[in-house]
Amino acid sequence: MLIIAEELTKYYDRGSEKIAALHEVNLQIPAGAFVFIVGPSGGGKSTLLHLLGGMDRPSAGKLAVNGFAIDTASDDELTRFRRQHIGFVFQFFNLLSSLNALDNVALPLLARRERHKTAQKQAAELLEQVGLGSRLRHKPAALSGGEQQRVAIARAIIGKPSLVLADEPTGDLDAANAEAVMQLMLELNRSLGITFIVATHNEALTRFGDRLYELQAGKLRGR
Amino acid sequence: MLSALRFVLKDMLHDRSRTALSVIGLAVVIASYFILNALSGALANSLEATTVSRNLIVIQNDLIDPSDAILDPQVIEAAEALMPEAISRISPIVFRHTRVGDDVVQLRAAAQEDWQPIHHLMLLAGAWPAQDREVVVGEGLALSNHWDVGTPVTIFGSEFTISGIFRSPGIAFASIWMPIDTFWALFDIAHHYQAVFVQAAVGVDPEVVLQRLQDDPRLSGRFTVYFEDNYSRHNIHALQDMSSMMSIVSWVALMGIVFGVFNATTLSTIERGRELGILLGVGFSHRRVLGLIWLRSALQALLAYGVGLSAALLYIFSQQTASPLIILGVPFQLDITPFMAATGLVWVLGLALFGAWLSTQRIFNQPVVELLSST
Repeated sequence: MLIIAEELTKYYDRGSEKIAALHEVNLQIPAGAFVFIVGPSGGGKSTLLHLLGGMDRPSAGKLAVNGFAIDTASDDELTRFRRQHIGFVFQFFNLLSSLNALDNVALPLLARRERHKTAQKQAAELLEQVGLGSRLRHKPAALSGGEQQRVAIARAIIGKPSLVLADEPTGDLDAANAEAVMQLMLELNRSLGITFIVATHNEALTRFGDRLYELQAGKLRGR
Repeated sequence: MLSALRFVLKDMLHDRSRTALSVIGLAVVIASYFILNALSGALANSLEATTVSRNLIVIQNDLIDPSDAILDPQVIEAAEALMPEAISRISPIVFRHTRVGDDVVQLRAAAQEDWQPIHHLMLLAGAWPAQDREVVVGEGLALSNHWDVGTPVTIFGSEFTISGIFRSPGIAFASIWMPIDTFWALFDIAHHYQAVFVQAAVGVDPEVVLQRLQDDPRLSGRFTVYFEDNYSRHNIHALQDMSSMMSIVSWVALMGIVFGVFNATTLSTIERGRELGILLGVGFSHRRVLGLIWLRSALQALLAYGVGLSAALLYIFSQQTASPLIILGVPFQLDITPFMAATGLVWVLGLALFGAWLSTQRIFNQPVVELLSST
């Protein structure tokens, strides 16, 4: 199994009150799967993805990704884990506005101290692959929403991660672009064997996946 | 390192106006610091050069205007009576305060052979007066009026030529010296003196000489004996006060650098929470992100330092050229020494790095996901 979560729980403090964003979630996902997590906004989808990606720590429970225990890892270990195993795609793209498409995609390789030239070459190849070969030098502000999300996907997979986490990746796109982005992720899943976990509230997109979970009020159930 | 530099430069150039504003804001404080430091240094150097005089002045008392003083020949006799064991030299003088050009100057005259040994005039340019209608002027006066050797000046309605420019030790009024015969002829006055300079002999306490002279019945309460220093002490105190004030103000400017650099770095870091979150999210370690922030802060601080130092040097150069700084007739040479420049650089860089480090501590304590959700 690529992901094993046991009794995974996450609380947030809201003043004196503790809000349970995730409540005793149990989850097992095999490598190479294309998984959808659906549910209403505030149901805990993003929280689960952040925990899986090592961007936040669980309040209780156990979580292992590719054999790495996230719940007990130090900050440095989490950074190394993200660098080696995780790609992230966000609803609002989270591209650096000062860098062009090529530089944005190359970032994870620079984090691994790859040579600038090598990183740029690989980034150019990937951008070509996602259909942005003619937009390499464009900055995010000069790209459409769909193009920006494709740049973000290319950035997420350039480091050959074992797991890509996509949080509402089509939430800011029109229907045609949303369809194209999902197709692209599916192709990458099939061709590269990368596991994808996609959080969305758009159930129409779930036909692309081979597993579907629903998160409501912090509780997960398979569908 | 090259990748990091490329990354940081792209970031700085992307937000040019913001970067420029930060650099200019810092540069203004840095330039102020250097100018104030230069001023403080010039005042301190000038005060260091002030010498303790062994001269006493005997002048008529109970006068509203010292220029009205008349020296009784008996005073000279009283002083001569103490020569050579207590007094080494005496030099009777005459003086007037008069307007020359735009300045009120003190016109002085004494026997020319006394100018150097008693009055300590040091020739900087030209020569001592050798002909009628020649005078020497103090360097401060010459600088402030752009006078040079050979420049004609009108004194009390008569044309004179500057034969030389002198420096007098310590703090003195703006003064012009002329031979005593020229002085008497100029003001058409009888051959009398107004005061006498008395130089205490080496090894003799000037305080004792002062007391002995003051007690002489020939002075009979009509004349008072002062230390020459008394004459200029007010000026020295004024300059000491100014020097202290400049020191304080330059420290305030340094504090301005502290807060300026720190604020610029902190604001820039806090405002970039989301971008730092992206870097951490894609796998940059905290150490590398701190390295990037350090590099950015250092480049920004270096730019501000370069601009600030250049502006300060330019200001000092133009100020010295157009209108040299002269206080109480004494010229002040403003200078930014290599030591000052190096110290400033260390301060600016050190504070930029410290500010960057401090501001990242709060950022790095937040989970990556919180940084990503910041605006």
